[in-house]
Amino acid sequence: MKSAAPASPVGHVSHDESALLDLLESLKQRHGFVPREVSDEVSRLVEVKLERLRRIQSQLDTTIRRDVQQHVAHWREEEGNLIMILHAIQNQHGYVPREVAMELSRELGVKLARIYEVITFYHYFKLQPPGAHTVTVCNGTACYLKGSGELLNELRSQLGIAEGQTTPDRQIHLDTVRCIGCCGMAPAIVVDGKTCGHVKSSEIAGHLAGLRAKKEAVA
Amino acid sequence: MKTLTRQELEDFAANPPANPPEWIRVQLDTGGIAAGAEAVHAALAHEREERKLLFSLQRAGSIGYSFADPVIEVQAPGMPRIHYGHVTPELVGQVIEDHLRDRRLIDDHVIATRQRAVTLDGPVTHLLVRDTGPETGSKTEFFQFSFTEELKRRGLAERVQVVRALDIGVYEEGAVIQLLPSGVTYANVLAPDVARIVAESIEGGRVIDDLLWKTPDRQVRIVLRNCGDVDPDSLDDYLRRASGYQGLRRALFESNPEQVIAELKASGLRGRGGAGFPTWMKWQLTRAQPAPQRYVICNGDEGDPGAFMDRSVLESDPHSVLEGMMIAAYAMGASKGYFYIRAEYPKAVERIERAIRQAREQGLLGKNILGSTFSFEAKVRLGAGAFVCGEETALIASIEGRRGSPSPRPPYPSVRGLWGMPTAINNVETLACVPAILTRGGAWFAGFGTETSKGTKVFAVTGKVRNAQLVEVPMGTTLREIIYEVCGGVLDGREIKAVQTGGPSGGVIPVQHLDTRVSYESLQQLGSIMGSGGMLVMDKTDSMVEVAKFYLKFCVDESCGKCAPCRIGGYQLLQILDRISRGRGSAGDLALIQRICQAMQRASLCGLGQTAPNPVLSTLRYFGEEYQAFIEGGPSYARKVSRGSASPAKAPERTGTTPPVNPTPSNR
Amino acid sequence: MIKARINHIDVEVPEGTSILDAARQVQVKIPVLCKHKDLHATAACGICIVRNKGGNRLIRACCTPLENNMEITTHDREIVEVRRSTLELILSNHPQACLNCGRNGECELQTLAADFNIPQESIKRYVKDVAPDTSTGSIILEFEKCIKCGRCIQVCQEMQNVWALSFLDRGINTRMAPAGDITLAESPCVKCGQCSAHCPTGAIVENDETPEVWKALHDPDRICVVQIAPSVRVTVGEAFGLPPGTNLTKKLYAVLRRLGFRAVFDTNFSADVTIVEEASEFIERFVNKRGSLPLITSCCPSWTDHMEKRHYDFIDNFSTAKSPQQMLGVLAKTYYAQKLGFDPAKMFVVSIMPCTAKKYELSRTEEMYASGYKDIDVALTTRELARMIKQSGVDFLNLPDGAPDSILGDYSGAGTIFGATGGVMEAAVRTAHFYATGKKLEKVEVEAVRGLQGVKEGTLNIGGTQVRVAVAHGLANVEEVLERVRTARRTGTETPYHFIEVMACPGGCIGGGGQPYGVDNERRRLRIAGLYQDDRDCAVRHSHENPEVLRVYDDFLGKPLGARAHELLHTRYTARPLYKR
Repeated sequence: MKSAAPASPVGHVSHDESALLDLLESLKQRHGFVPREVSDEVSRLVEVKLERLRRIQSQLDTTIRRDVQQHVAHWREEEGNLIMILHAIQNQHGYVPREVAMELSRELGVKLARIYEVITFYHYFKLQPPGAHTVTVCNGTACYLKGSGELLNELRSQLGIAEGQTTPDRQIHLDTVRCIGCCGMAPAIVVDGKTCGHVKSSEIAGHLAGLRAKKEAVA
Repeated sequence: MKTLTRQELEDFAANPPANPPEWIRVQLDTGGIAAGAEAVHAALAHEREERKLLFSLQRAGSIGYSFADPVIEVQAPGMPRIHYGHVTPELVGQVIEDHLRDRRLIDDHVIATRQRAVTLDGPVTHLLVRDTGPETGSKTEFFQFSFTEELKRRGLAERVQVVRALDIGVYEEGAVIQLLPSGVTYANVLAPDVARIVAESIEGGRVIDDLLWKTPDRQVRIVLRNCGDVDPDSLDDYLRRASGYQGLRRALFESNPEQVIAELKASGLRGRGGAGFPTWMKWQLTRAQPAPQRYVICNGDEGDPGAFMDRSVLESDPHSVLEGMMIAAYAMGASKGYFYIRAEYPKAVERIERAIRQAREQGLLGKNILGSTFSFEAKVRLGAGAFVCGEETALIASIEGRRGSPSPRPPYPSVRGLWGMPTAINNVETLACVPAILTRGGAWFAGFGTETSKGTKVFAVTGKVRNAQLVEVPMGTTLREIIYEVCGGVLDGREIKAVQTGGPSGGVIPVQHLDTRVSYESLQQLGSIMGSGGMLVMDKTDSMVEVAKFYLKFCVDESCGKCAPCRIGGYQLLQILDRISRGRGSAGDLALIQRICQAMQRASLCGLGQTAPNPVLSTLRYFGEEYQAFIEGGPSYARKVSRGSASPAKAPERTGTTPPVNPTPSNR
Repeated sequence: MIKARINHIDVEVPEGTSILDAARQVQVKIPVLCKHKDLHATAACGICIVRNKGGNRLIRACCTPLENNMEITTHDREIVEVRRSTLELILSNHPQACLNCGRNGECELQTLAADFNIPQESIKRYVKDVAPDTSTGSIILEFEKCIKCGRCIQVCQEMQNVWALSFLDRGINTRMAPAGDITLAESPCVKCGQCSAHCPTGAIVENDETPEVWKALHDPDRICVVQIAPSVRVTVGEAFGLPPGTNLTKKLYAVLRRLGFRAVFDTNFSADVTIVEEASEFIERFVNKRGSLPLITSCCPSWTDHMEKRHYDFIDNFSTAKSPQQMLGVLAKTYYAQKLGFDPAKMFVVSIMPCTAKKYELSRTEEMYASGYKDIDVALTTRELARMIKQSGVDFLNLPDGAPDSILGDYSGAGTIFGATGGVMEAAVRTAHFYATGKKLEKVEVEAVRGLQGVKEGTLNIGGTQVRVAVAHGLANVEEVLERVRTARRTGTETPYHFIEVMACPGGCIGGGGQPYGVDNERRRLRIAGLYQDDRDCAVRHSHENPEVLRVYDDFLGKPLGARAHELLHTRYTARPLYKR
């Protein structure tokens, strides 16, 4: 099917708003005008995209609201529920997303400022999404005396990040913990939930290689 | 579901059930699981299934032998109970074949019993051997060989097995052997003794007095009475095998709240969280406060680095803590209790939650418990990574959903606590003592310990110690006894330098005070504290400045930031220590340290800030020369120390002179 | 009563009195940084430690109640040493930029450091480099200067129920900031400035716009005019050492003229206009039953902001009348400009306000540009004015009295009491009574709405009908009043109130966030007394009788609530839910 020259490109370009707008600009420059049907078509496409965006957004909002409502429903009648609900959220997402905190503020009737005061006070709660893998160095006294500092230094230098940070590719998160209670195995690190005892700094590279291999296997 | 009755509980007390004749118990606490206990349990279950065996496979908490994780305990008919350490799934086949089937013990995994007998009851079946001198490996094998040869020579090889022990419970006493099933232990056994032992003890059935190790085990297990023994996931096990809830029964039906408090008073039990406030008084004060509602809180926010007593008790014997809480609640008239437990202890949380559920199902929680007028509910609330929440007012703030910043006292929680109501906060270990006190009496408990510090105390001994483990000893036991007799002394036979007690709020105790009898007061006099029971052993290679820095850094990270002396003082102090440890300190720094410490101790709002300088002040008091050495030695000396090429106590110009073995403490 | 001894002096105080307060009664001053008289003790600074005989700990005087037979020592060698070390620690975490600080000379930390005479720095300074938050244009958060005393947070959360500021993180990283990594402007902040009025240091200060005003004053092409708010006259003297409540109206007229303003107006005048509009609105709703009841006052911009964010279900109840500041601005650039033949584009209208939120109000909605220009160019706080006067070299207190400029300068006693909590209500009731009945109130003072109680309620007889009124000040006190109205709405019962006055700051504008430092209830009472005295001293005590007000309606505006009045003197409100993505 043939159509008028200036009208046809619309159907072929990617439905990217900025591409569409660029197209309008170039039509305007080349022809000095933009046919009405073209600009109407463009605005229709943009509208469709916006509508989709809104739908996704509202689905997300609904999911968040539903999740938060569930947590709140479970804990509503209980005294002292805020920290318990935050634990549930942290377990679900690996951190406390801003949108969820806001929703929680509305559902639970607790001021957002209070929620953030609490989240930022307790080190267990995170505001950033976690990495795909986590390496935690136990920093209990026993581990410290037996060289956890060296392990941490080794990890820092191999990963190029400090504790509490995640590698730029969001693959490995490095953390320290006060004590995992395995003083008999000092120094200990926890790699993706698995405790490794009597670790030597020469073994760090192997652990990290293991994690990276896991990542590739998944990919 | 049918609920438990008072009558049934009484029957349990009267007729304790018999254990099955053949069982294997896997110790599944966090430490054990981290070391692979789950895999061991799975392998045992698999073998039992495959081979259609009848032994009972049980789960338990930890007996406290952290150094040997994972640990299992095996009971075969007619044999003593045997603990194995460092068990792997690969070893499981051997346990089943050698131990259960052939009644032969496994070399290098047996942990000798601490119940040392002085008489031989019946014929010897096994002989455990371990040399506790410096070159243990070869000597142990030598003695195993000698004994085996001697037994062969006398035709006893079939009757008696010689086994190399993983740990024999006696240390630095040469070759040590233990005869099973009795538990008679001989120490400082020399080669010529081999024939004597075989002839006199094994053949003749007589104890050789000059070799007999008569020192009884220092440990008395009250708090840890069921740890490693009962299945923490089974209320039934606790009820039937551990006389569970008998303390509660006695409280409810054989006494009234005043009498319970009187019993606690007679026991002399003081708070095991560190401060040592008399438990009965706390309950009394809370009880005396008129209020529509009172609360009892179990403080399980064990946060001292290196301390894991509370975790172990919660994981190994959750019902005894719950029972203790219920007795406390009954005594003070509280109807609601909270367990505040670190979120970092998922196993402990899981087990206490299960214990609460089981108790509720059986009618041990809820309305009119066991038909009495007492009603009680217990809930779990999680900590979220804030050490300061161990402080009572901060803990309350945390449960209420606020930042865990301490508030000024008064008002004390016993007057205005959780949600403004009178609240008593007790530590896990304190509550675990309570059922035992109720069943056996306050006077019995007070029979242990010293004049002012009664009963026992659990310590988590870690650091440069041979056997890192949980230890429960009567108050008044000396540090030397704990470290050398129970835990086997310093790792790799090095020389001990100091012991740190009380965690970040405590201080170091130098070697010349190792014979101090442990009590709240004695440790305080030395500039340390009892604390919750962390005990860190340090050897001559450890730098005291670094140790002080470690603890201080912990407190700086954990300061809530509310009050200036702690928030800024801790930070600035750490900067100065850091500077010194890099060899960049200056002469005025020590005076400045003293001044900042004084401000923190005197002007901080809560215990965290008030005690945070303790590790610094006590290292300065006993090891001031190490600070001096860093300041005088400069960066090159600091680098040497960190590389391990200089001893941390020697300033460079003093090289060549040996540091005094017992350095005199600096002026108080 | 508690009997004890402080520094060997017998003291007797009611139970629950803190050692700090008890000591004051016997002329013992215990130094303290964090405790403010308006607020409960947070025990944060650690400076107020004292010793009780027999106790081995030092205790905080701010939060420890005196007990019978205590023997308190407030100063001995150890206490002073510890205080000094603590103060040095606080200073080590504070920038040394006193000379360039908004609080220079008025800073509590600076004063304490001077009192302790700390000769040299022995502790290395550690101040985290954080950029200030200037997002609101009203209040500046200078995070570096914060000593974490917690006053602002208590003010923001408990006194004002706004919850813009919070303590985030912990330990040495503890910081005061809006929650959730947003700017203050994006937060629930209503710019009331109570945080700045309570801050002991320069960590929270008003956005100082005096340079802009000086620039305009020195520009020969600008026609600078100025207005002074009701409450400023009784507070500005405090910045010059006079007791609170000293009425300096005439000195202010004089000094402003000396500063170079071509005309000096009085916001009291436009307060009278506001009353004429608002009383007419009330009559419209209450007598003629057109519009929602209760009518709620709207002249406090913080309250307006708060309502739009948190209580937008009350938009229909809000008086649409603009605040006196905005009314005067628009009249200056229209009516006054026309009368004097000034080009409004060249006019520069400054207002002297007790308030930091007034800076925000200037550009709140497009109605604030009703004259065709920005109706008010700059709003200065009382503190900024005091600074300008000090810079000007004028011997303020010894000036001969001045007079305001006519047509926007005359005021009634009803206008002046706007500055006190309950004042707007009282002024409106005086005029509404007249409008409804044609008669004046028998007793012009409406005692029911006076005083410092957080919520005041009363029933007033207007022509035989009972009018139920409520007055709330301090935003936290609004909650219960609005909740009562909501409950009535839900249950379909009669509204509990017909007329509600709300002022964001405790005490009303005399306690505003831009007033001289050191406010407490004692000062609030004295300041309010100054305004009531001014009211009594006025010949005209009813807004609708102000001759200049009558003239502006005759000459220019037409009827109250009429078309022109509506165009120039009224505004609209929009719901702005918080934290909208």
